[in-house]
Amino acid sequence: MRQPVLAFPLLLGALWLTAGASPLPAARAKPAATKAAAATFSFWNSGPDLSTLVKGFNRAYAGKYAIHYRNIPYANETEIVNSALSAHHGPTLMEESLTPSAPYAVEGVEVPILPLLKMAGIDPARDFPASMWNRTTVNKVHYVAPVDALPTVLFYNKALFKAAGLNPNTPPVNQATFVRDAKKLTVRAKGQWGYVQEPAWPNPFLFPSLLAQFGGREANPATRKILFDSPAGLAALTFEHNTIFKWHVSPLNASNGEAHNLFVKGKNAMEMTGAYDYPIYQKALGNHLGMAVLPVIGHRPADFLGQNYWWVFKNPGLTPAVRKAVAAWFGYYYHHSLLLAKEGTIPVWLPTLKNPAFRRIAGMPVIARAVDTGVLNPLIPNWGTTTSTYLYANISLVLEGKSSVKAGLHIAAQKMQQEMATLP
Amino acid sequence: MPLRPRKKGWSTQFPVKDVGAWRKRPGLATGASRAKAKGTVSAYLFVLPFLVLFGGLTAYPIGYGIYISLHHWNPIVGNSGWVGLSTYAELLFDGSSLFSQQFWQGLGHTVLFVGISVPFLVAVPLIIAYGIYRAGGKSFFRPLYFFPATLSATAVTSIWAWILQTQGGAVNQILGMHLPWLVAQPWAWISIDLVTVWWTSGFNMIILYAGLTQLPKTVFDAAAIDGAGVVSTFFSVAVPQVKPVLVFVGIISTIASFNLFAQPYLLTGGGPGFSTSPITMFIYGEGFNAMHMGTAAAMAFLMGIALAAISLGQYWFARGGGQ
Repeated sequence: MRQPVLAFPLLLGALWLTAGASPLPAARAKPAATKAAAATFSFWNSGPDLSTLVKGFNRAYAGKYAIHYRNIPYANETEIVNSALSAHHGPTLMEESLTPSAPYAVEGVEVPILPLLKMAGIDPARDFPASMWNRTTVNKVHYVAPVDALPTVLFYNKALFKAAGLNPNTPPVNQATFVRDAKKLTVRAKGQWGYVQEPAWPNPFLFPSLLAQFGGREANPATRKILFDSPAGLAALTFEHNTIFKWHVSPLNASNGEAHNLFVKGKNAMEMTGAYDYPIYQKALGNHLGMAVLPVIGHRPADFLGQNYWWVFKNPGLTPAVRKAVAAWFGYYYHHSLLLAKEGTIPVWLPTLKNPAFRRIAGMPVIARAVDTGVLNPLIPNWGTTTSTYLYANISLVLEGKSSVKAGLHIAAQKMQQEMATLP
Repeated sequence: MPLRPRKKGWSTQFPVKDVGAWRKRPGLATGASRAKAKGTVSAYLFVLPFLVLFGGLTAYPIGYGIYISLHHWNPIVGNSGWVGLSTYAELLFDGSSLFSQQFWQGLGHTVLFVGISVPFLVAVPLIIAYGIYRAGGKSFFRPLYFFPATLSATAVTSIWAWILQTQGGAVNQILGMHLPWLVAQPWAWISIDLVTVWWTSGFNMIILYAGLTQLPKTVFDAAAIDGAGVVSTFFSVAVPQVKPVLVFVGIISTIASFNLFAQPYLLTGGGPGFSTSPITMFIYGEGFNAMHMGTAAAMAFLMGIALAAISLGQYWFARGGGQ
């Protein structure tokens, strides 16, 4: 018995002493001491991996500014950031899609971004597309600035167009031509569809696009009034519904991701979705891939803009020197957006969007046009992740034939209005 | 007289009731209590690491979770005011509340899943374990059936989401049909059940197989001599004999099924509508996305209470309770 009794505290003591005497803490402290001269801030993002650009910035500003960069998974970005903020270990600069920024602004943990942009020599009215800068305020204050855009576009298979006797260089431009082409492209015996309308995805891109085309809005951020169950909303969802149940150009009950998979396999001739699929489709279809701005299904051109924005958290480390470092990074990022565009990230920096070199990159002129007519989600806390659950769950029921268009939108609006009252 | 009794004949020389008297003999008391104290200290030291980890990683979070559930709690700014038990009352009794609707809807879906999954999660592994036990090729079939249990939820759901697609999925290609496995009911629940049984049966099979190997072979030999076939031996000999193991597998499967999250989250997105959204998805959504951490914590504790009650009921029933 004696040996374990003595051995255990000795072991604990040894571990404690070893830990205390370890060279590791000293080793860690040393670089921190040398880096103390540089104004350092942490930057997390869930969009495109920016590590190469960050490395370039750290090299360019060595000894003056430095960024500790972390690319977090998009799927659970909110809980990662919120857990970190709860533990007071959140980042200084954060980049996510737009609506996740709203609760932080409402709770007063973000700083206004205009002074930082001015410090970087950026004039948002001059340098950002109006579609990405206007309507991004909370209580009339801008807390966010755009990072990149992902407009909703029309992808189509030129080979299938040609086989159906259609001109592969003239994709549909309105509802009538879309339905006409989709009917010609649907060959049920071959399992080929003119268009695949999934009940779920990509409605977070498509429904707001069509709603805006019919002149509607999802909600009013100032009053938090839900507006999508308007005649415009009914018209938008009726169009989607008709592709399945009236015109029969889309299969019933398509699974999640099926529109994408069938498009890659050459069994789906047209898809209206986010431009993020462009590199995959380009690889799969090569020269047979066509891309165009969305056809005007409603009354005017409009498309939903997927997007990433950044904002700066209030924290004790946000010293004047760190503010300068953040501003320097903003300038560095936007001025390198042509490089990023070549790697597939769609810029929101007007000087780049207007640059002839940018317009020579395959697909980018279409995307630039789509950015001009883009619409954003209303800047209401967690619109994208939480409240829209009701909307898209009910839309999926409508598109599965389990609910009428009117009832689906009405129930969704009712639930979401109730949810609005519980949000920060 | 020797200080310690010889091992042989211990019970006759020193009946248990006399041990205390023996220890109290003059000259031995100090040494014995010192040894006892050392033993106690030693025991506590051995359990200390576990106690520290249990306290830090289980007891403290549970206590803190209860504290959060009694407050308005936004993860960004923390405590936003005491609400006491009103969140619990709202969840349980206020049918007009969105949270209460989510809670009961989610709990209903979870209980439904437990009901349709646990019988299969016990029966299928038992049949497989019995088959492996009675047939040859144990070293081949055991790892083969256990293999899916080694895969991550993401891998399993990604594979099955692809296999079960309506238009181009492998299952529908084989069947020559377009069954909406993931986007319409009852197919969505059938798919989630199927995937769960495929994924986790191997784990239960190993436990049940271990239980079968502990049975005396003579019982099976006797059944064979009496003319019992494989099926009748299974129902009349194997099942009654492994009943304690079956109860254990049933309880752990119930707990696992109650914690359903990844399969509907990744396969059906909780749909169609909300019809496959278990309570864990609502807890996750309220806590991390809608930032109602107090409500999410209260939902989690109510779910825990329901789970404990069901598990105790199962245990009581399996022990012949009420008879």
